[in-house]
This record gives sequence, C-alpha cells and structure tokens, in this order.
Amino acid sequence: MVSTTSDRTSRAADVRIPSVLVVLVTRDGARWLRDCLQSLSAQTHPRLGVIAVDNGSTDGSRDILERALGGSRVISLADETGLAGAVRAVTELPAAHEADYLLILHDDTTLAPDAVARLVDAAEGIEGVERVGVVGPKVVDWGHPRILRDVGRSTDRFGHPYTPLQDGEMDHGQYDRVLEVLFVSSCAMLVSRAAWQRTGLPDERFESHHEDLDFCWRARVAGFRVLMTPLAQASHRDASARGERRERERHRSSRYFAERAALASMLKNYGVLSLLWLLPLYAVLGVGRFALLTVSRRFEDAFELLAAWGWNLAHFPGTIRRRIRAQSVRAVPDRKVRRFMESAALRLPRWFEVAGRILAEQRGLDAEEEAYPLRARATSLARTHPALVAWALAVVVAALAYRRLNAPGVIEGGVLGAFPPKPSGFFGELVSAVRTTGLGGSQAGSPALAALGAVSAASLGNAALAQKVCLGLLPPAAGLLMYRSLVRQTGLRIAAVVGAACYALSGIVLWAFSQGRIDLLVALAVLPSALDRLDVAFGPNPPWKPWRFAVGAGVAVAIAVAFFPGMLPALGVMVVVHLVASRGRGRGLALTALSSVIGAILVFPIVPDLVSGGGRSLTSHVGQADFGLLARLSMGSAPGSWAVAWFLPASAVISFGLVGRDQWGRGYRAVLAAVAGLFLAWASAAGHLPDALTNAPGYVALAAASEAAIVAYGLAAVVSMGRQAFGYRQIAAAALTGLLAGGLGLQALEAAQGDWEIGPNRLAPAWPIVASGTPGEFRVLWLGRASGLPFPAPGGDPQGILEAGSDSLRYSITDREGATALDIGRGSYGGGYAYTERVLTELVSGATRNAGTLLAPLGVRFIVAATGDLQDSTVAELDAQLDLNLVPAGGLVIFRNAAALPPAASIPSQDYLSAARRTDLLSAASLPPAQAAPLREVPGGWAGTSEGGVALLAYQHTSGWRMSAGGGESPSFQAFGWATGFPLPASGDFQITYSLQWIRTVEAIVLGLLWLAALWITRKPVSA
Amino acid sequence: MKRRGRAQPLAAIVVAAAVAAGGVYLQRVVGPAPAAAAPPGTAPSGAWFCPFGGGSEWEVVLHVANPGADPVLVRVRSFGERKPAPAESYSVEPQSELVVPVAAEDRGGAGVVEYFGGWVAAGWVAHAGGDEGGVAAEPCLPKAGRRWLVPDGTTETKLHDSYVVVMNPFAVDAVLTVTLFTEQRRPIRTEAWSNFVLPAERSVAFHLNQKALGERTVSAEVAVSVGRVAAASLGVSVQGGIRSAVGHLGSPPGLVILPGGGDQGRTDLVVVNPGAEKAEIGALLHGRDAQQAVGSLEGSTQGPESATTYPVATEGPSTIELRAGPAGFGVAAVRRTFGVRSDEGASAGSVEPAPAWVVLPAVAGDPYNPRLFLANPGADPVDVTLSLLPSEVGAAEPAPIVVTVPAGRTISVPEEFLDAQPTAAVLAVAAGGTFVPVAASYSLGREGFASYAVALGVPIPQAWVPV
Repeated sequence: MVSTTSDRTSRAADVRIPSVLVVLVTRDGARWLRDCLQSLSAQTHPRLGVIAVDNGSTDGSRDILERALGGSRVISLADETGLAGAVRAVTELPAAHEADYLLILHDDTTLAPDAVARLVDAAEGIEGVERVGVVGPKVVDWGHPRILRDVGRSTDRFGHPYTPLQDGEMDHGQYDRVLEVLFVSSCAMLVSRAAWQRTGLPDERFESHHEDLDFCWRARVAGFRVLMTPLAQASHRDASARGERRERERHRSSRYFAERAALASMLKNYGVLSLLWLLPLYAVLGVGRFALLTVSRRFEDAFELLAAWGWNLAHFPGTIRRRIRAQSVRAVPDRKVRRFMESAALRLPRWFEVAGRILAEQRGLDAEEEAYPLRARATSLARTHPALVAWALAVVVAALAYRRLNAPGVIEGGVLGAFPPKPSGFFGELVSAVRTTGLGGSQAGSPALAALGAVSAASLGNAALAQKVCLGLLPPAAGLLMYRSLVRQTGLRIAAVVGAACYALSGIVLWAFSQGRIDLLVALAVLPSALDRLDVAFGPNPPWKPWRFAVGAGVAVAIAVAFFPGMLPALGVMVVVHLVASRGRGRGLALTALSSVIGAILVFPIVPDLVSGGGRSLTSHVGQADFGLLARLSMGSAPGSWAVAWFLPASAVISFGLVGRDQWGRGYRAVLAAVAGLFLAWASAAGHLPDALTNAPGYVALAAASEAAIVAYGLAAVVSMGRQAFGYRQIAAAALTGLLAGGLGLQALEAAQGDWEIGPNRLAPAWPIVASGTPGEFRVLWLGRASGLPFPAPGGDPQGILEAGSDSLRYSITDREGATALDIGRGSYGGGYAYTERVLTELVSGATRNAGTLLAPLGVRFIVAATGDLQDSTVAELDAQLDLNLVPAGGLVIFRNAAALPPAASIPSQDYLSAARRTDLLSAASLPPAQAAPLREVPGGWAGTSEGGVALLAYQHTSGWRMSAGGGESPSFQAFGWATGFPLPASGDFQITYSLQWIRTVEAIVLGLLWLAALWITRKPVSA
Repeated sequence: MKRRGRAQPLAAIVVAAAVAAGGVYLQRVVGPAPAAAAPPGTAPSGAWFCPFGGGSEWEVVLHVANPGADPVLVRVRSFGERKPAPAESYSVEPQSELVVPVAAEDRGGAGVVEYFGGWVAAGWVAHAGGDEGGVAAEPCLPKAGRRWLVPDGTTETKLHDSYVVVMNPFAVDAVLTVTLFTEQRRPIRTEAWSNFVLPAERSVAFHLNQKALGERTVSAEVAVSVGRVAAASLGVSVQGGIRSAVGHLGSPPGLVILPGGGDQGRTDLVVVNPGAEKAEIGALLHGRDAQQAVGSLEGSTQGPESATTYPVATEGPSTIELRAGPAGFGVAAVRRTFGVRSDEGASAGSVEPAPAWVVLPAVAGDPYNPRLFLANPGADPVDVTLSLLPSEVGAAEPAPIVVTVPAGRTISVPEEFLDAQPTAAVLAVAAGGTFVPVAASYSLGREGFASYAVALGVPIPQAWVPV
C-alpha cells in the first residue's frame, strides 16, 4: 500500500460539481435496506442520483425500494446476476453515461453523511494525484464502528486477496491517511466514468465474489489510481458472511471463490512476461498447497482448490477474451501494479506473520515497560506464547541438529533402510503379490509404503530428499502431536509445551532419529494421539460423534501398526491400564474394540502376518537388558542417551507428586503405563517374553509418552497452584523447574551437536567389498551375538535369534543393498527363515563344514558381521567352512560364499533337483558345486533357457508360481522345504510368473478405498 | 483432599523406590533368560586336507576309514600345480576302510577328502617312484589355517631334498609368506616366497634347498595373509627314501607327544621355536619298560626364531614327551625316525592324548610288516580295545583284542593281530584314560629294501566315538 499526500486543496467554488449515480445493489436485504436508504438520503453531496437494482428479492426489498425511490429508479432482475449484472444493467441506462461517477453500494452498507462528497473529493481534489479511477471509503463494522473492516486491500503475486487488517482490529486512526491500494471493497466503491468505460465492467462470471479485485486490477492496468480515503466512512454489515442473508444454493467455500478469482485475474491482468515466471511458480505452490491440504485431511478444501482450477479451465476461452480486452487498454507495466501487491511469501508461513505481530506487540510492551528486565520479559513472552517460543527454539535446535544431514546424496547409517530410487518402488511393492525383499514369500507390503511412496513422489522422486523429509519432520511431529494431546487434557499450553518438549527430546526419540528408524519415529509421532483417544474413550465424557471418533482412533492405530507393528502390544498395555484404572470401562472397551476392528480393516492385507508366524511381525530383537539404560528411556548408544536423560523419569516422579485433583486419574494411569512399559521393555530385552510380546522399543515409547504426560499434569498443577503457603509443593515445583530446564537444555544441546549415526557416508569402509565387488543379485547374511544391538549399517535390525547357549546368534538376511525401506512394517518369518536357523544350528554346533553350500539355496553370497560382534568360536566355525572364505576387510568380518547361487537360477543338475525335492540338510550339504545360471528378470517373473535340472527361486514357496515352457504350464514344488523350484525340461526356453497377482491388485484397490473413506470420515471441517 | 494431597508425594516416592528396587532385582537376580543350547547337527560333514606331495611315477593312496555305524559319503579331489581333476564320490561302509588312489605327479600334490553324514578318518600313504624310492605316511589334516609350522627339513647334503607342500583347496587365491628357521642363521625370508600367491584349488611344493642349502635343520613357517592353506613337509633322500610330517597349525604348543617304534634305534627330534623369545625345553622318553628324561635335551633352551635337530637314542617302542616353557611359550617338533635301511619316517606327534583313535595303515604294499605302537603318557594304565576296519568288505577279520598300556610306557601291539589285514585301519578305543597310537610299518621296499613309514593315529571326536 502506498500512502499519498493528504494535502487537499479546495477548488474554486465555481468548479462544476461532479455528478454521482449510486448503483444500489440489493437482494433480500429488507432488514437493513432502510438504514442504507436513510444514509443515502442524508448525503451532503449535491449532485447525487440513485438507481437500485434488485436481484430477485423475495423479502419485500423491492417494495421498500419503490416506496423510497419510486418505481422508475428500481430495476428488477429476475435472476441473481450479482453485482456485475447489476452494474451492467445500470450502465445500459443513459443516466449512467452522463454521471461523472458511479457509486457501487451494497444494500447492507450505510454511508456517513459526507461520505460521497469525501469520495468525490478524493477522486478529484488531491493535488498531484491524477487519473483516479476508483475510490473506496474506510469501512467499519456495522454494529461496532470501532472495528475496522476494510481500508483497501492487496494481493500476493498470485492474486490471493490480502488485507492488512487483523481480525477485530480496532480503529485507532492507524490508517487515517489516503492510501493508494490495489483494490477496495465493492461494498462502497466510487468509480469514475472514464475508468469503467475504458476498463470495462466487473466480470459477471465471478458471481459477486472478488469481482472488486479483478475490476480494480484492470483499472490499475489501464492506468487509473485506486484510493482509499479515511475521510469517507461506511459501515458494512456483511450480511452474507454473517449468514443473515438468504443464500441461494451456495455450495462453494470461500477458498473456492478466492482461488477461482485469483487465477482468473492473473490470467487476465498480467502481461505475458509476468505470466511466464509466475504461472510455473503458481503451479508448484498450488501442488504444494493441495498436498498439504490433503495430508492434513482437509479434503473438502483440497477439492475446492481443484474445483477452482477446473472452473478456470472450463472458462479459459472467456478468460482469454477478457484478457484481450484488458490488455488492449494497458497503460502501465506490471511492475508498477506489483508495487501495490504484497510479497508472495507472506501467505506461506502464516505463523511467521503471527510471530511478527506478537513480537511487535512485545516491542510495544517493551517500550512501555522498559524498566522490566530482559529475564522478566522473556518469561512473559514464554508464558504468553509458549508454543511459539517452543517452535522458535525447536527451529534453532533442528537447524543445528540436522545440519550434517543436509549434504547432497542419500543418508546412510544406523538402521535406515534404503529408499527405492523412484516412488514407484514403494507403490510397486505395495501392490506386488509377492514380497521382493528378504526371502520373498506372499507377505503383503505394509500400507505404510503408500505413505512413503507419496512422500517420495512429493520429493520429486528424489530418494535422498524423501529420506530427509521423513526424518526431518517426524521428531517435530512427535512433539506437535504430544502437545495437541496434552493441551486437550490439561488445557494449559505451557504445560503441554513442556510435556511435548520432554517427549521430543526423550532418549527414545533421539535414539530412533539417530538410527534413522523411520518406522519407530512414525509410531512415536502417532502414539500420543492414540493414547489421547484411549483417554477419551475411557474418560468420563463420551465422544461427541462415536463413529467418527472410532474411525479416527482406528486410523491412528492403523498408521502406528502399518509402520511399526510392535506398537500394538504397547497400546494393549495402555488398554489394560484403562481397564484397571478408568471408570468408563464398558464404553471404553467397546470403543477400543470398534477402533481396533477399524484399524485392522485399514491394514487388512498385513493382518494375517500379524497373527501368524508366532507373532514375529510384532517382534523387535533390539534392546539390551540394562535396566538403567531403559529407565532413562533409551535403547542404546545415541545422542541423548547419556545420564542427563534421567531428567525425564526424575521429573515424572516429582510431577506425580504434584499432580492436581483434576488430573489425578490421568496421572495415576500414566504412572501405571510408564512402570509397565519399563518393566516390559526390560523383560523383552532379557528374552523373558514370547515373540509376539517382545518389543522393547515399543514399550519404552509407551513409557516415554506416559512420563511426558505426567510431567505435563504436574506442571499444570504447578501453574495453577497460585500463591499458597510455602511448603513441599513449592520446593518440588522449584526442583521440577530446575530439572526440566537443565534436562531439556542439555538434551537440546546434545541434539544440536548432530552426532547422529545416520548421515552421509556412514557405511563401513569395507562395505563396498560386498556392495560393489560382485555383479548380479545376491543376498547377505548378517550375523552377530544375541546382544540386542542392530547390525552395522546397512544391515538393519536382526530378523531372528538362534538360541545356541553362549553361541546364540542374531541374524538377518538382506539384499545386496542391505536393509530396505520396503520392509517397513513387515516381519520376517516363514520356511526360509526356519531353514536359515537350521543351517546356523549346523554351523554353531560345529557339525558342518559346508555351511556355504547349505546357504546357497538362500542366495547368500556374503556373511557379514561387525568386528568383535561374533564369539571367537563362531568365527572359528565360519573359518573352518570349506566353502566360506574370509575376505580381508576393515571394520567388518566378511565371508564370501564360494558355493553361492543367484536368488533366481537354473541349475542343470539332476542331483540338485533330487536334493531340492528333499527337506533334509544332508542332501543339500553334500551337493557338489553347482554350475548355476542366473535367470533373467522379466515383468512379473523370470525367464531362462533350460538345460535340464532345476530352476530354483530363493523365495519362500507360494502356490501361485507357474512355469511355462514348450507350450505347457507346470506348478512349482517346495524346494529344500521352503523355496520355490521347478523341474526343468531337457531344453528350451521357459518363463516363471506369478499367477495370482490379481488378488493383491484387488486388495490394494479396496485398501485405497477404505483409507479414502476413513480419511473422509475423519476429515477436518472446511475452512470458512 | 488433604489426605490425598499429602499421600501424593509419598506415592511418588514409593513408586520411584519400587521401580528402582524392581530394576535392581531384575538386573542382579533375575537376569537375561538363558538361551537354550543348540541342538546337535543333523547334517554332519567335514574334510581332510592331505598335502602329500608327489613326483614322477609316485603312487599315492588315501585311506579313509569309517568307524561309525552308518555309511558315509565321501568326495575326493586331488590338486597339483595344474587344474584339479573332477571330484569322485564314494560311500564308505560302516566299520570299514576305503582306499582311493590319487594323482600325485606334481611335487606339490595334494588331496581333499570331504565327508557327509558321519565321520571318517583319512590319511595317505605315498610310495615314491621313478628315480626315488621309499614310503611315507601321515594322517591328513582336519583343518586349514593361516599359520603353519613345518619343523621337518634338512638340506645338509645334496642327498637330501626338503620341501614344504602347501595346498589351497579353496575357491579363492591364498597369499602367503614362507619363513625358514635354521640352527644358526637369522630367519630367511625371500622375495620370491613373500606374498606368494597360491591360486585357488592348487597346491605347491617349496624346495627348501633353494633358499637354505647346507643346513642341518631347516624348519618353515607358512604365514597366510589371505585365504587358508594346509601344509606338510616332504623329505626326499637318496639314501633314506621319503618321509612326510604334517605341519602344526597355529601357535606352537607347550606339549608334543611323539610316539614311535620299529626303528633301528636312531631318532632325530627336530624342534623349532618361531617366537621372539627363547623357550626352555625338556623331554621324557616313555619306553617299553622304563621312563626317563632325554639327556640331550636336559636343561636346553631353544633360541628364538631358530630350529634345532636333537639326536635321541631310543630302543624299541618309545615316546618322546616334549615340553616347552615357560607358560605361554611353545615349540613345534617332529620326530624323524630311521628305519633299518636308513629309510626315514617322520611324525609331527600329538599335542594331547585321546581316548579313541583310528590308526590308518602306513604300509604301501606287499611285502607287509605293519606295526602299531601305543603310548600312554598318563599316570594310570589304559586298556585299549583294538579292532580292524578292513578295506575289503566281508573279508575275514580277527576278533577285537584288548591290550593294556602301562602308565608312562609305550608298547607294541601283537603283530599277528595286524598281519591278518595288513592294510586295514585300526580302531583303538580306551576303556578309560587316554593314549596316543602310531603306525610304524615296513612295506614294499626299493630293489628289495624295505621302506619305513610312520603315521600317527587320528583322534576320534567325542561325538563319534563308537559306543
């Protein structure tokens, strides 16, 4: 907005007084029309005429108009033509062409008695300000004249309207100067004859929505000025926005109309050169906005966005015609128009604007309270806007903590699974009927792959960027969702902020981030929401909409389970706690059951895996039976796992002693959950629980969330403590404050150092021996002691434990790239893993000297362990194998399997075929070295040329595999008791494909529809 | 309310104390769940590495004996300096022996016996041909490794040629360095034998005379930096025929038991100390009737990185029990024994006695004179049951016999027991206690002169000891 001079010079009295024709646009405004007419009748401007255009009112407005103005001054339109239609109708009258100015006026607007005169004065009477085309008044609220409604407006570069006013901003005279603006509201808009005749009339396609923006913009392009004069004042009731006016089938949101007008105005009013750079930017930002709306479940808003774009597409020819008309009268370049626009960035980080306002307010306060010390002012700011302060600090910590992850290229290290290079990798695995990772089989991909695929697609298919997006957003998301839960529970933002910070900086979150555990980080982010919903379900007040609530809870559970199935036992613990310690048991149990069923439906393809295989999909073998480590909510060595991490359990203990009456129940349940989580985590790590319940990270996550909640409950009591007699509460509160300040500060410092396990180039120097030393596909068997630790990168987490006394092993089988993100949410079990354990048993027992041959059907070419991670006896046994050869390597112990077979191979040996049909290991071990040929990968399977023998797929057997050769088709057999084999004909080409893909395709479609339905049911309300 | 207000801090303290106490209890008393022991393997397999050497017109046979109750599948491969021959598979019937001739045209000839479904013992008997004569026998090696000590070697005269046969039966090349130790000279490391690349599935013979001619004692250390190998010595003497002794894998031991017998009374004890410090050594001689210290080694020390040949006078069956000290120090040794016609035999001995052995024959053909000696270095007499594992299935075989080996003695098994099946392996199982057997036989002979060969028994792993 540009301020112009306010020096006004009265012209000589003999100057002709300009004539003004008021175009009063009415529709069903009988309630306020009289006020409007009265204000017109009171105008001091001597040459004023009024023509009313009634847009088919049915409430008697027309009668009022005719009584007030006479029938000849009222134009009745049968249809709703909007403001543009009304103006067009008036301009068809000779009077309009004779009037110097048209004053467009809404029926819910009243004018101050001198308003018209002041408007005319501004249009003609300001020295040095020529070619004024449009003038608007200062608009105040109808009922509260101290509240400003309009002082002229602007847009961003993309035509989105922007007002400098805040909601409910009071009129202190802060805008009391004539402002040159981009546009003024059409509620009261003075338009010069030259302007409307040269520019054209308002665009009637906009149906009374934002036509003022487009019209004024065009006037600007045509070289006319647009002014707002505060000397003229109007009161606007804004009856439509208040819902006081009968609406006629309005079924679009304000977002739709704003977006529609913005794009259309851009297309019409910008020059070609401006459009060349603005339209691509608009497209990118538009896609981003659409994605954000979709992700935040504002589906209707997203749809409105699409609809607005669709409208512009449908009306493109009309837009072009109007563009030609507008550009034909262009008198000024775009850069002069853009002076009256705001920065494009202003709409993106909206909260920055809020922050700026708050800081400005604070500066104002500072000016008033200069005597206040800095500390007091900081405390005041933190108390007044805790979330803002926390976010600001979080941004600083995150900027430091993530700095080493910002290098180009993919992130490696920890247990971070490799992302497929393209988003289609995720989607392909999701809809694939056979598992392409690990030892294959028919295990379905987790629905989590769809989310990861979407992130990858949103990252423009850049795997490195997708990794960083996931990792960068998840810890703040965990804090944010914890904050939202705690705000609902405590009603105190500062307590919720501290609780959320405790959670986000807890040992488990930092450990999960350090190791790149995207799956656990998602579960940690969702966990507070899931626990909050349990709190509601079992709480004293039933949810408002039980079905919507249940679907929402089901979605939360489904997300957690899809990424990290091991969160299920932890949530089960919380349900048990509620059953023991809550009052609404019946309702809570019913809602929980319903939510569980919905959650199960939303992940139905992986439900069979969750309930079969002895619960191994729920199992995590990570975790050390170190009570001290677990008690400080950490799972191992990582930033934030040091002694300072005790701050959270210690704070929780103190807070529990402070919890107020209103939060006593919640605090009690949180303590039960925290204690249960801690002990179960230890029992998991110590191997005392069955597979289905063994998941130490899940239990520690529950303990962390519960302890953070206890802290918030305790702080809520402290905040509301008020001035009481000095006692233990004050001492405890002081201790708690110090503990939290120190703990959070030091944890934040630790995080800010950014010494994570993940980062660029974090793989062992010896790993290229495995990854690049051998062409073709192969698998890697990772071994280590049963220590509860993950494997060195990129081995990932152990998939199983082989119990063998002191020689017990943890193991994992990966592809040549190591752990993959495609396995997120998916356990590893089945005949192939059982076979692997049998082979490992032979190895550690010292029975075999042909472990390589035994591992050959698994496609294992390398055995890898961290240096020192294997018992000497195990290394000796490996070294004693005839077919395993130690490869010199630093940092890793690598054995190369001389007998390895490709994961898909044809072996021209009848001996091999005979052995493959058996299940005993001796037959496999005594096989001579095989001359295998790898099969060619073709869409949906493999192909090769037969020389007899057997085609062996190192993928767990499922009945859907078929081999076609020589015009016939033959089924597979279960090779070595678990793999997939086909007896090969003596000669000829053959092809192996999976015949039951259609089942998974249907499943994927149904799954997609179910998620759409669930998200639709739980969508956020549409924006006003 | 007030009551609860007061109880709250107490409850917090109680919870904290209970968690702490529970944690301490779990950590210190309960502890991690014990892991179940691994079940026994169901697909036993193993391999024997036989670096027997060879030469023009040599005949080498591998003896594979199965003392168990089930047939065992074996796969035999032989190596040399050229591409290996295809593997041959056989089944060794229970309680019997298989004799497999193998190619041995190269000086560095070697073979591998893989076995599946049970346990077998394997050894070789080599009969020199062409311009060379004599018989050598040794058990094959159960493991390949990265450091071998091969004590036996002499290059004192041009009449003696000493070799170290190194085999690499694996699928990757091995890189190794051969260091020679003598009595007086500093360790000999040559460029040609440093970082020597032995290709996969090949074997080679290092001719010690090329690097250390004129030494009474030349011992070798084979250090492997990449891969694994197996090594043995091969001695070829114009006067004394041929002899073999397998190498010692790993660090030198503190105790070596070296039984022998059937010789003409002259024994050389070759001792090598590859360490950087001198080792104190001493030896006991367990004879047929008495036990005494070996005088020539009394109070001796073996200098660092050196090898020495100690002559020991023996009579009849005898066992040298060599000890090295102090604790942590060790030496490798070979007992080189001379037959009645100066044909030599050599044995690397055993580092410990065992309760059950398979003794493979050391005879190469008619005429036979198989001998078997049993040493008991322990403090109690041992009853040993001997039974034959014949190579001809269904052949008449004598009933098992039981012999008692007095404590600290070495005895000879009755010859008539062995004469019934001269080429049969012998299963020797002690009823209680341990012992060490050795076959020391005369057979064939060159131009009418009998050839002497010594082969230590093969201890049977505990899991495979016949009940």
